[in-house]
Amino acid sequence: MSLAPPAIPAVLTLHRAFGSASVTTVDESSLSTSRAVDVHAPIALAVSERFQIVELVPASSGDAGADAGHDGDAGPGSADAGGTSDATTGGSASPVDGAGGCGCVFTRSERRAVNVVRGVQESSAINQ
Amino acid sequence: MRPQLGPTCDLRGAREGVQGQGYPAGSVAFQKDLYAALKADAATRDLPVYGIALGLGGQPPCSNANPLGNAGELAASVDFGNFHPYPSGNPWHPDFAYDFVPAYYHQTVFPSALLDPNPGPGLTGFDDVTCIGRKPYGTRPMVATETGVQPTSAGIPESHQGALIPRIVLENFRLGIARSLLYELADSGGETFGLLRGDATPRPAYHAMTALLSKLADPGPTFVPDSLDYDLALSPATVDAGDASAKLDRLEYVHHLLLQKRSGAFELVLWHEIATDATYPT
Repeated sequence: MSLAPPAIPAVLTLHRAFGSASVTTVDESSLSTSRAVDVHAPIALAVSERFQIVELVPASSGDAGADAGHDGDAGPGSADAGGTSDATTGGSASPVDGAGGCGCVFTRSERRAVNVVRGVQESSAINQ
Repeated sequence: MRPQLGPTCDLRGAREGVQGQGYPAGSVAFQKDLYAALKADAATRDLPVYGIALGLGGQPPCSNANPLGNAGELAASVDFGNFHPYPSGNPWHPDFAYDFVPAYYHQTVFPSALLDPNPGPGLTGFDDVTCIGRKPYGTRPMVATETGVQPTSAGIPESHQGALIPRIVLENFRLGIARSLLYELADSGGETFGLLRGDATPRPAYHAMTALLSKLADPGPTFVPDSLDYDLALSPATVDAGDASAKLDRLEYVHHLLLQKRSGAFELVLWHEIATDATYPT
């Protein structure tokens, strides 16, 4: 008997308006699959061992980055709602300069998922 | 003669013994001399210098032997500490049964088995402060100059490698490991760690990494990413296997990483950090 681990049901709720969203599931084949999802309702997901990427696109390009650089309205982990053990660590995003000169910014605010994760998570720049 | 180094070049100390001394004394001495020399020269002082790669020295439990010195002895001689966190079982983790596996951390292979910051009571992960006194790099950020999965050995199928390799990269990044280098691009030396087989045909891991990189690529200048406010509600899952069943209720194994591109689009990456089907009962 060889079974794949079952997927964990998840519901993603956004607190900001987006123009569109899609979910891409990446597996070991040469193709990944992507499906559009409704951004006006909670997004149902099945989180598996194969990673999935939820892409959230701003409503208009004019919105993109308009408020980037502000401090955010909370550090990671500040606003738990019903979380049982939302053991966030770290704080604000940490600039990492010198890692190969890429100047990446990443967050150490690794948010450990619990029954309900609630709060603001700072994002990380992608720099490849 | 000054070294000819590009802007993305990194320097790493010598793991093998040098300067007439064996390992670790020669390597430690070389690392200190290397760092001092590079930082004293305007042509090289901005190059990031990695430390000698650790195995598990200084890792939990804190009494684990550490040949490179304790209490941050090398912290002043590196910009980044260095280790080789290959996914494997964690022999120090307290036993617990989960998902058909009697001793889950011992008997399963997944990227965070040795890295989880809080894998269980009484045991700490690689960056926990309680082991700092046993770590030669102190609180310096870490890089992983080797990591990977060897399929075809020990019954690990190539599809298993394909599922784990992208998760290694994501898990390491999520945990703050500044750079991860996969071992290796193509099979060599009789080993089968390659994303490519010995005949240069791609393994599933090659396709998975290609998909990951193409989806998330966003080259350009540095920018300050935004934040995102969201809820993620999770529910346990159950798997039935004949007369047995297992309930997957360790929801903290669902990991997520929030990224942003210069367009303003967010990329929320989610995965279930769990052993693959290769560890299920057969």
